[in-house]
Amino acid sequence: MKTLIITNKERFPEQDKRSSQFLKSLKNMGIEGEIYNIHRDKPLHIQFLEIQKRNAPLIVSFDFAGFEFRTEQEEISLNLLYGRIAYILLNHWKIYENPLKERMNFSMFVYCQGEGEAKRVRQEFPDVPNVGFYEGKGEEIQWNPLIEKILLDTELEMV
Amino acid sequence: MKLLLLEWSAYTQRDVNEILGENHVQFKSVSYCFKDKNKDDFFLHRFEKYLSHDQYDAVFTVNYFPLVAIACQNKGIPYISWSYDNPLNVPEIEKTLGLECNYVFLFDKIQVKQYRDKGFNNVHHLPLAVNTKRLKRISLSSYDWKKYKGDISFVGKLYPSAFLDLLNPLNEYMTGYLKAFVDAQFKVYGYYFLDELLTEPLMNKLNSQYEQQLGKGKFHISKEQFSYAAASFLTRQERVLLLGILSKYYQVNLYSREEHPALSKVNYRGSAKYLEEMPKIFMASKINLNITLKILQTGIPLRALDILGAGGFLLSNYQEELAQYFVPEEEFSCYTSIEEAVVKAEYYLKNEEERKKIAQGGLKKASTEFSYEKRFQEMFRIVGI
Repeated sequence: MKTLIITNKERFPEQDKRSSQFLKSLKNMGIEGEIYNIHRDKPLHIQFLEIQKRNAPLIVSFDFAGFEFRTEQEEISLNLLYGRIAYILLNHWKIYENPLKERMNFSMFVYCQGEGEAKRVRQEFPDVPNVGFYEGKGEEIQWNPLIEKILLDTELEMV
Repeated sequence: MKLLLLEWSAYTQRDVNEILGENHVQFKSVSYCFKDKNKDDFFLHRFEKYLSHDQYDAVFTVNYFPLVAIACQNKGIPYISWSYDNPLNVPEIEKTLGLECNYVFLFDKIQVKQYRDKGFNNVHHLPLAVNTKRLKRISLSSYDWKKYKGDISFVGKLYPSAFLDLLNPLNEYMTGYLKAFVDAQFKVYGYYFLDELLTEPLMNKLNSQYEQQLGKGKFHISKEQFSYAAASFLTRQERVLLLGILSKYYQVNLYSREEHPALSKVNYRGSAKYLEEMPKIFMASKINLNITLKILQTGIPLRALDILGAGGFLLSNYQEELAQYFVPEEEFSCYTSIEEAVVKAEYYLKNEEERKKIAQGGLKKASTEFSYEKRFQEMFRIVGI
């Protein structure tokens, strides 16, 4: 099973380290992964097509990276992808508060930093379908339990 | 009333949501992308759980989704689907179509009759709608006029078809037989008799020839698939022929994903964005063509309503329901042959006042009789919510 990790490192450098740590944990668990970083200089629709072509059954996005991709009807393009999308929230997700009030894809899973934040997100954005949380912050994030949680929630097999 | 809308980037979704909201219908929206419309355990399991979290009077989708029907049936919630696609493009649809929870609304009378004749009494006829309020808000800048103006515009697919490839493995007699019928169908508007030709014995003969030529188990085609291939071939022929002829004399703009080598004089403009660009094209063009997919026998296609609702002048192939609801040559213009289309195009390009009056008439009718409000009223009355 292949996992595609979407980041916006140019804007949020923290994602660089976290996505690499996540990718390393994936590989240690025997899961193939690839990081796709959003580039400022490349047209968004071309980047979305590149992501779409990869046909990944699981997409992992940090801090809603990828919400930049919009359809001609101004909807979130990631909602159009077949496959599960897990959004891991770090420290810069709040710039996407407004899109969170839009219609969301059923196969979208959000993982907040701690149970308290998950509770706040559920209250503030009741239309976000699946909200969970992970343990740890920064260097303390426990990636393996989070990956297992993602696989369980998304009902994807670890192949 | 509270609805759950399962969305998928349908053309009409934004209009549906806008009108429901304006009429104080409460709704919640989620989206999903199906890889296989008939099998998705993840969706079924999750969607049923989602339905349990709140009280919904019905689930609504643009177009029909069998798994939504199954989930609604299991939860005892009405499922309303309103399709703008014809054919429905749902394999094995009859396996779920008859579920008690279903209220399926289709815009072609013949298609509805075909299902009802098979005992599917939960299939209803409901013409499509157009949101003229949204379209009125769109205005053309001088840049838009320059960009989109033209004598004649066509927005749509050219329908690549596998029909000729399907004929290749067949013997001469069968090929000649099918071609003769297809040629005859090309000249007939308002009646798709190819479906009647494709009897079970004929389909068995076809598939037996495929087996002989291609090997056992290598290829099998259903009646619906063959019919669609023929219909798309015919539609492609008609679109290319008409656009080709008209472009010899007039400025013809084609908005499509595909170019065609026979259309060297047509101004190819690429595809057009449905919400922002298409209405402007219709407003800025003197004549807008609608050339319906042949398999759609009587219904008014969405494109025709898009044109009328934008105040554009519509020149369309004859469709029974178009002529039933709109007065020909007063609210739109129609043709029953390629020759007639060319003659009418010439006439209306020369007679600007008359053309504008017809466009105004069409817009007025579309605004009053084809509003979303009217359609939802009828729909909810039938569903009983």
